[in-house]
Amino acid sequence: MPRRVLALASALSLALAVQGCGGSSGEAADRPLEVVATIGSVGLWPGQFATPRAIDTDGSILWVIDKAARVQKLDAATGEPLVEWKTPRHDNGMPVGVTCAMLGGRRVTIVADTHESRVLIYGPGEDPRAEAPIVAEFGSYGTGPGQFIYPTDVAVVEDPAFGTRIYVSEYGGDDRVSVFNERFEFQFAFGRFGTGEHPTEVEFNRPQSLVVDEANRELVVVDACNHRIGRFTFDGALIAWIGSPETAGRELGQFKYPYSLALLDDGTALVVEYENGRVQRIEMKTGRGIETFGKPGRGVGELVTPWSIAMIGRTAYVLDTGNNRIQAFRSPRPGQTRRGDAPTLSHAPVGAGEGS
Amino acid sequence: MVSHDKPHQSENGAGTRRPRERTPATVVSAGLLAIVLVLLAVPLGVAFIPHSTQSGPLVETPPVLPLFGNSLLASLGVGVCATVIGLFGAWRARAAGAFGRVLVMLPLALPSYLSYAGWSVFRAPGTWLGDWIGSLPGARAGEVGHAANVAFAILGMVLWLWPLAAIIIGAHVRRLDADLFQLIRAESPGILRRCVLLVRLLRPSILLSIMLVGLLALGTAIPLHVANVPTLAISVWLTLDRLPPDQAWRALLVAWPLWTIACVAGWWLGSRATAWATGGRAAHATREGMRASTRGTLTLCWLVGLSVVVPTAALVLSTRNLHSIGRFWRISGEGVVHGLAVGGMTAGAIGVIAIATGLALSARGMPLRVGRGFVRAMLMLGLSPGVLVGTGLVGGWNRLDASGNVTSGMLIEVLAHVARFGWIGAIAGCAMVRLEHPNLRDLRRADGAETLLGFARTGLMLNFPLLAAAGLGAGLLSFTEIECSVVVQPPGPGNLARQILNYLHFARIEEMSAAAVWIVGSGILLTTSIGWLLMVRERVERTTGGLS
Repeated sequence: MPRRVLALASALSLALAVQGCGGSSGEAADRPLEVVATIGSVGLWPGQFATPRAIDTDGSILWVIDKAARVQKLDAATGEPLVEWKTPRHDNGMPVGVTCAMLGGRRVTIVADTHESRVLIYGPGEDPRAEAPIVAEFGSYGTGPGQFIYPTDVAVVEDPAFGTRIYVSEYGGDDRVSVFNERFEFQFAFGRFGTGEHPTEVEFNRPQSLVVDEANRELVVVDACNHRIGRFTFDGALIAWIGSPETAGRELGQFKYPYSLALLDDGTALVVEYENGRVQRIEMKTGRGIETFGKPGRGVGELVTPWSIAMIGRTAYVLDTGNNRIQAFRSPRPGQTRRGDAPTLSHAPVGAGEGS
Repeated sequence: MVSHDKPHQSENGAGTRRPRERTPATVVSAGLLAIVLVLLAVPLGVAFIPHSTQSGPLVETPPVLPLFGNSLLASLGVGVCATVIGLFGAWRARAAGAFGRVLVMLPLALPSYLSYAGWSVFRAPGTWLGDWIGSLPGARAGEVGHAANVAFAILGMVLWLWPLAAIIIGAHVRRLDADLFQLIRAESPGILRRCVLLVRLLRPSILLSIMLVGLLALGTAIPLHVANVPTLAISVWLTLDRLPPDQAWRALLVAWPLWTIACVAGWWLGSRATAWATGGRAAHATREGMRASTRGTLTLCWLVGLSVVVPTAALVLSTRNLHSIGRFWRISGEGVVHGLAVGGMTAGAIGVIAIATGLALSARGMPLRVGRGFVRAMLMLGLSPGVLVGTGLVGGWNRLDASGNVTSGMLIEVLAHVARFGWIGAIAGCAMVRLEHPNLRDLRRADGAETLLGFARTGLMLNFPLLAAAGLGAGLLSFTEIECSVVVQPPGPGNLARQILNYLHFARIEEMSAAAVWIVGSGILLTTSIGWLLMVRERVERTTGGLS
């Protein structure tokens, strides 16, 4: 009896080993993430992070929010921390989305306060080294119109055709995108929870981030848990999906938990993939994968569960969440939305492991 | 080299003192155990000994004692509830025959976080409970919803851990003569009176069960973390998340009640276990007249249904699209394969540890001392919070091995899981010594089992069911473990623990359900094998018990 069991165990081990080896075949050829600067390390001092999950920039300052509910402003050129504070209430959990935008002619920073089911709007403030004041907030817990379960990100469109629209994505049972006007009044919503098996329907499974494609007048929704990216008109009509749950993977053009993206000026985009630990450049019109940058790991140029990305000129700031740092690298093309010129970075890349 | 004390034995081998032996096999085994201890203890020491002269990081020190109070309350609740169900299960299993022994193992297939996720389906919107909670006014709905989450989290842990209680109490029950039960039945007319008598009779194993289950729950962060219950184990995890690797020792200041208890309890339990192993052999209980009953089997089926079938069915039925189950394999199959591979290697390592512990404990002098120390150390590590052990091992090995060879592959995961579940191998080793009949040991020696190869030819085959059961048990726990795995696994798509943790955090029932099918499927296969192997072991023992 024991010999038979041993033989069975050996056969099982061999089968597992064969499967394990086969898993890596056909993997996309990675390009290294050539890091020009690394900002931050793990910790709670200013300039350090405790699982940072949201990043955006207004062109010169990086706004970063971590799992200690800290909103930090950092100088994008030097990485120097300017100021930090905590969101006003965070008993239930922390925000996962931040957006720098123009709203009503004012430069604001909008925080998707995920676990408090609301959206916070911070005004510019007079001193960049001072805590920004909250100028407005909207939303409450629920599944009704204008309510949220877990809001994840916000995008703002100012268009002569319809004025100002604020798009808010959410998950938690009612996965959708709600649209508000500049007075934060609910206008309409699109999408519902679904696992994406019907490509013609607008189903989301954790729409993690929103990006406005100003050049093509589109709203891009990163549908993280369906492993795809949706292109929509500003009215919420589906244009096309890039990727699908059925093709999720590690090949070029495939995604595993895409969490965020940054549009480049040539119609391509840099997609941050949480599970694959990389940045993938894709063509937005066709969905074709062009190249990938980085790989999972803790060294310089390696990423662990990256969550988000922000761009200034040709400098892409990847939020390397699992390593508690931001890694800046030179993008092949500048970002679509002109948010200042690429800063002359004065902080050198740090050594492997230092930021982990 | 070979020396034996003169054995003292009675007719059936019961009550004999064990003769001490020092053979090449016992010396090599002790050496092996010492190497395992060094591989675990040195990196832990390196990681947690303060060595940085830099100013410390800014740490938000959590209120340790109130959090410890929460942890203590929750773990005591889990310990008592799991023991009550385990007592019931053990009592019924005694009358449910071999099939009952397999049934008792099945709940181990569904880890506490999956059980929690399954039962939580019953409070989702659209269910009776969910709608009732939703109908309550604002703040009240939040409070009741939170209370329901806590209750389901405790329930998840209880339903996962009661088989452990049943095993501990069941071992005691099986040592009692069937005549004794008949006597209790005849003397005590009321069922309540009979229960009281039984509890008194089984008091030592009941207390041991409450203690062991409670201690295991004390260091467990999930699912209480997902249910938003502030406990010390979770605070330790958060603190470690916010500390640079060279400052990990600061987490010890937060975790001091947990590791102090783990050390004291591990030492005590280890001493008890080795004393039990090397002490006199217990007489076999008379089992005549104890037949498998349908009622016993049905009761066990009912318990297993609550523990495994109901939560799994709830998850599967809440899946909106059955394609998700196939999709899970595509997305996370790599993680499942990786987890099974690590589990397999852990199982093998635990089997080897069990053999080495058994051989070392049957020796005298240094090998015996190493064996005793090893059992104590493994219990201490097993009762410590997984995240603390994992962080310590990774941090320590990163310092010791600059090339990163140890921490970049599966080796660190196997080491971490050996640290977490080595106690299973150590206890199996104790049982191997305890359960071996002196006559058989003499026969083994006569057959030339003084070297490791000799032992492999003789003792290994005899003890194979017990060793394999211990290995499979540890392999199963390794496969479903999250807290330590999340910390030690190299980043990338092969990290199943991270994926499961994300599903739990994001309350993604769709993915969770698909994961449950794969995990429970693998688990049921393993637990059935464990149950079957233990049955075989028992049959072997019963057969060889009559040798004298």
